[in-house]
Amino acid sequence: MSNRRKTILKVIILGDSGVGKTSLMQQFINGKFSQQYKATIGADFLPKDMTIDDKQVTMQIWDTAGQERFQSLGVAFYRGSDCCVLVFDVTNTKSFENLQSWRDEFLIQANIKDPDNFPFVVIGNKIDVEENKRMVSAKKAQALCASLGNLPYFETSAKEAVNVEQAFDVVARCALQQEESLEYSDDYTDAVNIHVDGDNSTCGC
Amino acid sequence: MVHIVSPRSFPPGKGQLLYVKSKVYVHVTSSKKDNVPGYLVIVKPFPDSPKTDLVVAFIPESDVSQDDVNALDYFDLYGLDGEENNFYGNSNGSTSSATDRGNHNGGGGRSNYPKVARFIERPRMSSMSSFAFGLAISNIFSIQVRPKTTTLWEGSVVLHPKDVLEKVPALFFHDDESAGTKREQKLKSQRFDPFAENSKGGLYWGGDRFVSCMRNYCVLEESTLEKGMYLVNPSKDDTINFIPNVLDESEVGNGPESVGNAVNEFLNGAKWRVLTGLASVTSFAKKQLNGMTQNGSIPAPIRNLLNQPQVRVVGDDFDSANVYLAKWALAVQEEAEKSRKQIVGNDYYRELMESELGNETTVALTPQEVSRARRLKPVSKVEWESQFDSSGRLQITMREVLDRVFHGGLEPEARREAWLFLLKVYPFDTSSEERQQLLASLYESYVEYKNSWKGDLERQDKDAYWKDQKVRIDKDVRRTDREIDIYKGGDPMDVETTGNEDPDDDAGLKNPHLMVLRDILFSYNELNHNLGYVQGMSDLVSPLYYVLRDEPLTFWAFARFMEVMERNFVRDLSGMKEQMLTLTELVQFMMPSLYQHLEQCDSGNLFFFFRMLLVWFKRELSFEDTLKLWEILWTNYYSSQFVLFFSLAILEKHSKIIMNTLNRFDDILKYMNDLSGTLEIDDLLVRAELLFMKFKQVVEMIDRRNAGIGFSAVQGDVDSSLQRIPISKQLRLLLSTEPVIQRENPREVGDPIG
Ligand SMILES: Nc1nc2c(ncn2[C@@H]2O[C@H](COP(=O)(O)OP(=O)(O)OP(=O)(O)O)[C@@H](O)[C@H]2O)c(=O)[nH]1
Ligand SMILES: [Mg+2]
Repeated sequence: MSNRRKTILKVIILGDSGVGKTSLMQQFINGKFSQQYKATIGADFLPKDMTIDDKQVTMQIWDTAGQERFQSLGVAFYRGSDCCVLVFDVTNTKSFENLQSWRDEFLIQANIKDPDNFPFVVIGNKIDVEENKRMVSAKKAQALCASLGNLPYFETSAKEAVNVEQAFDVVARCALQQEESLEYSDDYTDAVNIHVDGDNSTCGC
Repeated sequence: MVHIVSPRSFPPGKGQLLYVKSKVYVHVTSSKKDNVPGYLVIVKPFPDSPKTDLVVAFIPESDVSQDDVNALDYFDLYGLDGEENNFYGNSNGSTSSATDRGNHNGGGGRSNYPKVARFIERPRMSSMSSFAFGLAISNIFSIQVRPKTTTLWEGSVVLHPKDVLEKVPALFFHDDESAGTKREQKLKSQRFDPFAENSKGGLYWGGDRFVSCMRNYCVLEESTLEKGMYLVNPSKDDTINFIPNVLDESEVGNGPESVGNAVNEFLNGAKWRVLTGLASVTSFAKKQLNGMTQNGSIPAPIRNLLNQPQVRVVGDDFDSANVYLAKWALAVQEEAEKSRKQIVGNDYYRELMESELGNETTVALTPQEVSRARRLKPVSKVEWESQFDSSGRLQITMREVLDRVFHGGLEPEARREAWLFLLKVYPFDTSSEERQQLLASLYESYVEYKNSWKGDLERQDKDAYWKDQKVRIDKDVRRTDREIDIYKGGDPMDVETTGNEDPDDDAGLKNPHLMVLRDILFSYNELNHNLGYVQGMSDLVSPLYYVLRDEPLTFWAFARFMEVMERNFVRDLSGMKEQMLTLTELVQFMMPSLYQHLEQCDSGNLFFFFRMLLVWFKRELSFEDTLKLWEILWTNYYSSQFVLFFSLAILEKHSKIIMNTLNRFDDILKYMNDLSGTLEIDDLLVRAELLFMKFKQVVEMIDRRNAGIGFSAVQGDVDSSLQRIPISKQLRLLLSTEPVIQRENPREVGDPIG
């Protein structure tokens, strides 16, 4: 593919308020966890440069506010996203139950043309808590992800930096694949029809 | 053919002219009629003066005797080129150009040494009565040359004295009035020289030769950091600081050099250049840049800039060169504005408004109006108390009190008492005794609210809404202002929690002040049942408690504040949308070209103001500045929606940078979000006040015009004045000091919270 510009991968993080979206993003980008993060208002994004299989990309990670009423703002920035991360809190059943409506709402607002093939990654956060506080089992979560179309699932702790890197690596791969497939489909009028030999094994979506 | 005239003796009291340019102006104000015309000269004051003692001077025409006028005008015409018209044709085979900045050897026909000997009175070095000034070359640090770039603007030269406290005005070259320049242009057009420097595209202008002439008498090094900035006889340190060799010589010709050049160029061009072509810098360039900032090969001023925290952040992730550049441009702009403010003082803002918002004579602000828009020192506790008589009644009008607070804000010690008035917990027309009684009843009723939820254990068990709200408040309170001293510490995650493992319990919240915030929010959730707690409210209550430090009082102050702010939190967000729309209209109304640009970048919805408006800039300003902004907004002095003018002021301040460097939604959003921590509240408040006045004037003018009155006063063509200009209800509402109140609809049982 031509190097006419640096690839920017736009990733949106969604999920109920307090599940740890901001903490996950900060852990991934700055490798830190802090009690001082504030509840998110509106939306903010942070960039992160990555190399995926020798390809330089910039991930643009959008952190959003969890409270439902602020969701209608999403229209302003969901557009053009390459991957959506759905986060729930393993100690909070409700945040798990809401995953599907987060997904549906996103698909509508982002105006996704091909919802079945849009990449989502699911994250169950706060696995550092004691076992007896955990309300959503891994099994239950995996079952939901399977039913939503075999979405990749990760269990993380933003606090203790468990699995965060791994989760976002897959997010980046999914996003890159999505971005490239879009690029090809955008260029479908080109005389040369490039065959996408998708290496689907690197990413389950 | 060169006649360097240097007689052993000069006429008494006179110096020899080495360079003259006529019709050079000092632009005293933005108004043409205040311009001061004069001559820019280089003079050798005494026959034996060394080069460092030569004087560069500006001599206003009004200061010149008739003899000197003759000498100056003659030299202006013939001084450097001689009298013959075909001078160029006769030159000794010279290939150097008419402007020849690179001509160091001084040989050839275009030496820029004088061809005629003329003398004038030794110029004055300074003057109390006119704009005359002179500087010995040894006292000039640098010369900034801004060539004429379009036929619209005059080129200019600014001398920067070594003494940083000394400032001399910029000199503008009015080429079309200058006989000497016109002759030069004519001579130049006789002779086509494809190698001339100016054939690269610059326009020939009157200042061109000033630099070449200076080169005869001193070393001029152009800074690689700022084009057109020439250091005069630079010291070694200056060279290191301003003419860095960012690129190691040995690397030239190798691969990385192109990147090095890119970075170098990027550094050079950052100031005020439209860099739309440079969309983003590769990560390689990023590393290069980061390396440079660390290994010290970057000049001190730029290093300082790069090390400013907010620039640092972007330098580190470097997602987008545009945002980075924009920030840089901002820093440069602020520096320039600061010195500008010092030079022209009060007139600064007036000029600013005129240059940025157009100066239709019909809506120009009067000097009185401009001088009203200023910041005063904050109201002290003593001053606050002195406004009340012995019975605690206000001795001056409420309007006077609000005026004073609006223009100065309050000192921390005055806040506790004053805020209760500003938030209408205390009516202004009460005595201290009445307030005491009021206080007692407020305490009592607060206890009532608090008990109503504290005691209702049954509901706390069953009601899902209540439970959700409890979790929500709890979660947000512990994420509120934890960097502020009283809210620090006492978190369950800091302290090993033992035994207390029920998350629905007090959840181990140990900080007593946070516990108060939580109780206040629970109580408010009870008081305003329809609205309930919504995210963002914890940000609003925390400063109130910080100042009042009393639970019941904070609760009531918060409840009053929320009457105004409820609009921001209603479920369908209609209140926020309405404000954002009003702001949009306001921007269109006041700054149409900026608005057009924003729209082209998909940013016409002003999305980035959402957070700022929702919690009144709490997240963008420091805690202390937030307190100040809020108390000023509470006065409703000009408008109950003054926060929109404050927002407009931010846009106005950054409009140039936004229009010049940012052209994508992401970039604009990032730039605006990153303004956090950089907003200069006093400057913005003055701008906001002026913007309000201007807005009001324009509305009044349109009203008069619409009413068909005063047509004669309106300049412009009659046709357009016949058209009514509509002013929307929203815009007109901005002139009102009555708060806009919007309440949440009744909440149905079982409504989702959201
Ligand atoms: N134990 C534990 N706590 C976490 C973890 N991640 C986040 N938290 C805490 O959960 C709370 C919410 O975290 P945030 O990252 O602010 O949550 P958010 O999803 O961004 O919330 P909103 O901005 O309101 O939508 C904070 O008090 C965090 O300290 C985690 O991995 N483990
Ligand atoms: Mg958040």
